[in-house]
Amino acid sequence: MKKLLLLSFVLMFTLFQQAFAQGRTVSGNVTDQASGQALPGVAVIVQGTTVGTSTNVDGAYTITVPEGRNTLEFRYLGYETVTRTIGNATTINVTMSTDAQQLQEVVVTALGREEEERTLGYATQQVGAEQLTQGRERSVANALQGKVAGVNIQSQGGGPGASTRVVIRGAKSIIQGNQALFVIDGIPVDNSSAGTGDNLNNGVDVGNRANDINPDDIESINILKGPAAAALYGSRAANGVIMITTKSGRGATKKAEMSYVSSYTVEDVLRYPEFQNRYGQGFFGSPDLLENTSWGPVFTGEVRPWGQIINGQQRYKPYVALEDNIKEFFDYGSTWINTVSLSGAAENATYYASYSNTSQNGIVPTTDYSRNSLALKGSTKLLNKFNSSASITYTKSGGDFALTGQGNSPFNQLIQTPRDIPVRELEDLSNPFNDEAGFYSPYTVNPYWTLANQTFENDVDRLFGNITIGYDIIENLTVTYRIGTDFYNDRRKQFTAIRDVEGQNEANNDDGMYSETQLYYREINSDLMLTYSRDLTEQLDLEVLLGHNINQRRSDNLFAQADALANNQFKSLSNIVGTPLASSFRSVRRLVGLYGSAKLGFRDFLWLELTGRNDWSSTLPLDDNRFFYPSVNLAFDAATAFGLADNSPINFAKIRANYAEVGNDAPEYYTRSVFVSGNIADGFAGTDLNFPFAGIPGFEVSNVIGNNLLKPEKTNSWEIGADVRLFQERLRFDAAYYDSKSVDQIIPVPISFATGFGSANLNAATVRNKGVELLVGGIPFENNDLTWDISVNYTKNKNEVEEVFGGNEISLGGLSSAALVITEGRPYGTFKAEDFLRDPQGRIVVNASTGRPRTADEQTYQGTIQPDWSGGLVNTLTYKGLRFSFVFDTRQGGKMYSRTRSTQRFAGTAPETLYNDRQPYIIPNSVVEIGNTGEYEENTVPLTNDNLYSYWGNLPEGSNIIDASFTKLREVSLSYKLPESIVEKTFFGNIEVGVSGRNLILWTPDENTYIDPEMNSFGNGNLQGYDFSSTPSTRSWGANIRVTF
Amino acid sequence: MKRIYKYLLAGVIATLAGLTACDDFLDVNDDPNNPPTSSPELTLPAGQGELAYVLGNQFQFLGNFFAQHWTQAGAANQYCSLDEYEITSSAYDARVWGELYAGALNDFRFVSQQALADEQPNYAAIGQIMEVYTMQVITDAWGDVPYSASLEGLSNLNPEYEPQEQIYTDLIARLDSAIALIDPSGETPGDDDLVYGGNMNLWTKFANTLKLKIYLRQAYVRPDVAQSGIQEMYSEGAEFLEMGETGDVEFADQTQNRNPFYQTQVVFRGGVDVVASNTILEYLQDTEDPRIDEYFAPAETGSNQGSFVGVDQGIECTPQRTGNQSNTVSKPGPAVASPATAVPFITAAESYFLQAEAVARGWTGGVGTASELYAQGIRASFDYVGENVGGVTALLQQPRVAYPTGGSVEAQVERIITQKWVSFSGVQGFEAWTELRRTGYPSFIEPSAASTLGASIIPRRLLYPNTESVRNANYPGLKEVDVPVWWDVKD
Repeated sequence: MKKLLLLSFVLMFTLFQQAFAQGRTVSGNVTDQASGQALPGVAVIVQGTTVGTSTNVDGAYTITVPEGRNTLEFRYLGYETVTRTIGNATTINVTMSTDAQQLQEVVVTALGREEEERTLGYATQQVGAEQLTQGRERSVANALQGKVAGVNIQSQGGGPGASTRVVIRGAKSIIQGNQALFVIDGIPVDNSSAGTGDNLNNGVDVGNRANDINPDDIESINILKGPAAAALYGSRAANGVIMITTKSGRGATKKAEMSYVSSYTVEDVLRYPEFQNRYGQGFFGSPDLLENTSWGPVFTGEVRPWGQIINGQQRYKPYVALEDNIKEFFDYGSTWINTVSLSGAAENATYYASYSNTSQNGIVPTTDYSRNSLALKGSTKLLNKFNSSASITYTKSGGDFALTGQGNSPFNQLIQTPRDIPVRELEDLSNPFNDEAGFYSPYTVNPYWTLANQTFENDVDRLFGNITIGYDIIENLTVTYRIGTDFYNDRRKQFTAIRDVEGQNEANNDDGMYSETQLYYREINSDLMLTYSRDLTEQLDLEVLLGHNINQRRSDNLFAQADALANNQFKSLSNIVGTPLASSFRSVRRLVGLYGSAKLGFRDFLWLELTGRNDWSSTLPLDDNRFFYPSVNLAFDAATAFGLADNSPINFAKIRANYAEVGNDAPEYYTRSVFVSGNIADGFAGTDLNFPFAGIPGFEVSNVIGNNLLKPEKTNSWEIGADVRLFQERLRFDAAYYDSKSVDQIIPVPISFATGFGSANLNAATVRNKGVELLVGGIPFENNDLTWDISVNYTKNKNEVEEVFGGNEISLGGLSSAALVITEGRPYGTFKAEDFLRDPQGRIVVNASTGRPRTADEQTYQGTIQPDWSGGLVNTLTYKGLRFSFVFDTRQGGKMYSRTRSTQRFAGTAPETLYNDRQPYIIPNSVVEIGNTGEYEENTVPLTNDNLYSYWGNLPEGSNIIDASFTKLREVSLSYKLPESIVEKTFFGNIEVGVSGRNLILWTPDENTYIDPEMNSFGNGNLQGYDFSSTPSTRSWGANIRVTF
Repeated sequence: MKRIYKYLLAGVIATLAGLTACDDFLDVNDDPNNPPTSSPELTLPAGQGELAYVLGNQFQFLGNFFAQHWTQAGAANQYCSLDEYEITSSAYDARVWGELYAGALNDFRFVSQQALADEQPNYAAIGQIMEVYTMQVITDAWGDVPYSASLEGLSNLNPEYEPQEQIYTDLIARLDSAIALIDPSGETPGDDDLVYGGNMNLWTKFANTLKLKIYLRQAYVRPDVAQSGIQEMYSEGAEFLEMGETGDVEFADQTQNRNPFYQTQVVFRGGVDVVASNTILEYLQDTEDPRIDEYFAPAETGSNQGSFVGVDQGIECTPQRTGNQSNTVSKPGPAVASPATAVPFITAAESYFLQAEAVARGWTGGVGTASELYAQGIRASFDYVGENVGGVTALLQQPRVAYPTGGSVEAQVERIITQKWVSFSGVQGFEAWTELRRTGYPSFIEPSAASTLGASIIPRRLLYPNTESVRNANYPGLKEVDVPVWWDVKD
């Protein structure tokens, strides 16, 4: 890994002209001292000239030495430079050894530049291929969990192909994205996650587009954490960047190498809700065969009928708790990933090709996801000062997904299933007791019916890639042009079968629904860059970059829906009663940028970089669409400056500091008010009035006031940090403190409806994030056979909304009774929810006639989704060919809303509903109001048997907000690399086998008996912290093998 | 080769440099999905549709529950908050208050202003009449509300609240100016006027009837103003809506065009919540009113299958609940819960009942006969819900229905309002609740069994919405649901 990066650096900067002068010819081989392997790409220079060459893939070189020159210099990044006197020799073989100090230090920074890590004045963290793929996780983002300080990576659910949210150093933007920008080989790619339906009803987690990236194609990921690191990328990089470098074949030590990786993992539900097992189906303590609740009598064990009477028949079962009735619904999921790749390097060319297939079957029956990707990448270095490379990746992905949310989603049905109902016996839909007419309860729907008859599938074709051409104009001056594109077409089909029955289940009748959605997205990114580097004096060197960027993002979506079907036979828009509803949505945005950076290096220990970028954006007012933003960063290598490496245990000590501003433009179409086609809704699905109305068009004044005076948003941040390594790098610390302030945020500020509008687009809010990131790592033990490497990372981010226009409050969404809001003086994403009415002493006020708590008139703030801190622990032991690694991940503090709690309490399946064994009781420490006086006295009215259900089912929504803390054993892996002595006898180059597990253990606070708090039902957008009956998250374990030929 | 690359690069550089300077390249921020302008023709139907949606949906539930036409069925509890009179500040916020102000009202304001600018006086008149109608609904629901200071966009982000009395005074003035704009010989709307298809004669009658309604709302709080205003209308020979001239918006049985109560309750909720309240059902049965077949449907299943059975108001939201499913009792019937059921703004029946009350109060200068107008009101109601008008004669013989000719004014008003209440069943829930608040009739209405307010109190207003408390600096503070609005002075 390390070597690959070093090599690539060489390729960038050692493109030497062949010399044609007369002289001697010298040839030889260059090998690595430690491994004895040939080193390709080593620069071989005749000292004092510009004459040079580089070694070929076999490490061999031949060079013509001009008259009068007598010294060869061998340079290879990360290795100590070797100088040899030629004398009379015609063959000079050289072994090179690594320069410990420079190792691991070349990273890919903004625009795909490769720079020495020690010269950077900002924080980055690199994750290599091995760490990334050891857990055999199909999602790149998930594979980073727990491994990077300052990055919050949250997988949103347990469905196949589910989405993940990646936020670096806290959320900043109120309505625009907060996720890190994904960049592959220098080209930004889309990572959107277009949701389906509305969030609350029958939504589907279709995943995010970064899922299209095949982790096996990745060579390394470098995370640019702060705005300073990413300032050259401009607007979208204020949230940090996940820089992905894909494999290229660079540094392949053979002419061709083929590798094959295969892994199979099995998964099941990580956290089932806890259930009470004392009371069964019924209501008010009495049996009721229609009920979906467990408010019936105590279990007796007697054999009793259940379900409906059909054709004079009824089913019988013992009246006992079925502890595992919910568990039995879920299958074991599985993921099979196979990747085959071919790579190689010739003298002046490299190539890489891969094919990968991922097939996942979900834990919910009928759900699946698959991904096929084909990647091709090649580069050539031409003799005439040109070099070029190209890469292209085609991905086809998609799956069959289960509904989530309220309504008919399977999980929503399951958690309210009475404790004695045998769920698995409901599976056979041809059984008249299980079909839509015969199902036992009119209040829920057979979850197996939903799976079979409410389907959602999608199919994505995606292509991304780039072409790069470089030309060395003169020595040290290079021009590079890179153009890349990313486009996809996501086709979705959703179907709900007609239900038409008579009898008790009639209320669930439905005319059926079919819809098709096509999401088309295309992004084009063009960069023209000029780089120049020069030693100004012996002590001062300079690197300059000037660039020009054009970015265009376009989407073009179509949607058509039939909300009454002719029959259940086929899924098509022609299967319809009435008129289908059709709509389209298009958007385009363009950005032109000019950028530059100048980096001064002083005596190899002090670096100062200044950057600036000027953007012109189509989304800002046309006559004022230009904005400029600078950054400055400073890196000081104290160890080199003070010569510490030689006379102290400190091998390395870097201090870094930076200040950056990053501008951001507006969302599309914010500058002008419009009229919109008439639409009004009440919040229930499918109840809208949508124009045209009986054939008559209608356009209403939009509720949003456009603004032609918008200014760009700005994020201003500063950061200081240090990277210190001691005792031959056996101990290392990295710390960062940052403070960033996002001002002038462009938001549709909610305004009083009495103004005639609901919101106005204004520069209207300030959000601040301050935080600390710590990484402490070490190698407590190391000898020839055994190495123990351990590192701990810690992140604390303090987030505060400092200002919102007019002190207004902005809802990010959620429930009207438990919303997630942005409000001054509180963290980004604070719950505002119904609360208990309390007397001045804080006691719960109950209704004097029922003994049930009263709900306060005003909603209260009830915590934030922001955690207090998070951390990770990565531990790796290697013994000879054996490698054992595990990762812990924790997040402490922060709240979430749990609909599972709400539903379990309503349905009487939650353990806490056993309180006082369901006997009448007075709510402890409660009071009643005396008349309407505002005076209170002690409550003497007990909750009765009859209204216990009402009590548990009607608590203020705020009582469903729970502590979202967790600790996870995120990843465990064990791999074994067969010794070379064995491999040599085969035709394999390498054989490695392994086992791995992910998310194996979950610890949560006692009050969370419900779900994995990482889950979020509302996709990976800004609305986080809602468990709303989505597919539970999973734990997985599996085996893998990787071989090379 | 080398040369080709060089030219290529030179070309790229030239193109990029050119683009940077070029504003056209960046001039792509005009929303291709929505138009920048509209016209009265395109916006009038949007406003009318939105208003009909609110009245036919959230206010239909609210009003019919409070006026005790409907109640919550046993096996569900979706609308228990209505039977419990637990009305929170978020319940009628963005989707009602918001749609009334920023939806309907602002659209009507655009229509009237744009029409004046375009010299389309009839559109301007309709826009203004609809503004007045919408504004009365708003103030009747919430009392003192933003009025003169409203609809000013960024010019006034904190619209001041205005006393309801002042609003009522101005509504009359606005109606007068709207009526004055009507030019029967001028250009009139067509199908884009969802209410009257551009029939300006009917709009004049609608405006007069609305004016009468606004005056009568003040009958107890400002009888002198009401009386003189009504007398003036009669002396000028004002015409009111007659049989068949109901101003309503018809829904259509196609996707996202259906009646919102039908779509929400019957389709989305599967009809599990809303059932007949015994308060009206027993009255209809007692008076042998044939409209029972239109307002309600017989129980579909269970021991009472085929008969009309109601539920005591709110009882299913109390510990005394039976838990019976909605299909074992009567649900709303075909006239009020069908896919294309219209939502009226003012019915012909209402017009007659308003006139009857004006006559009964002696405020018409002797014009009209109260008993005849009362009978006409019942006939118009029969006609509107599709019941044979022939049945009215028998109904009028019923002791609880017969007009108390010669009785006290209050006795006459009680009878008029009670039958008006029947005509509102499932049709104009909001107006039924509002008239109940104004008059206290029907006098046999007792608070819901599930009431969380004190005895003999029904909700007198809606709580100001939550959004106002956080977005409007002039938010006047909490006013509880048992605080009457200005005109609500009669016990």
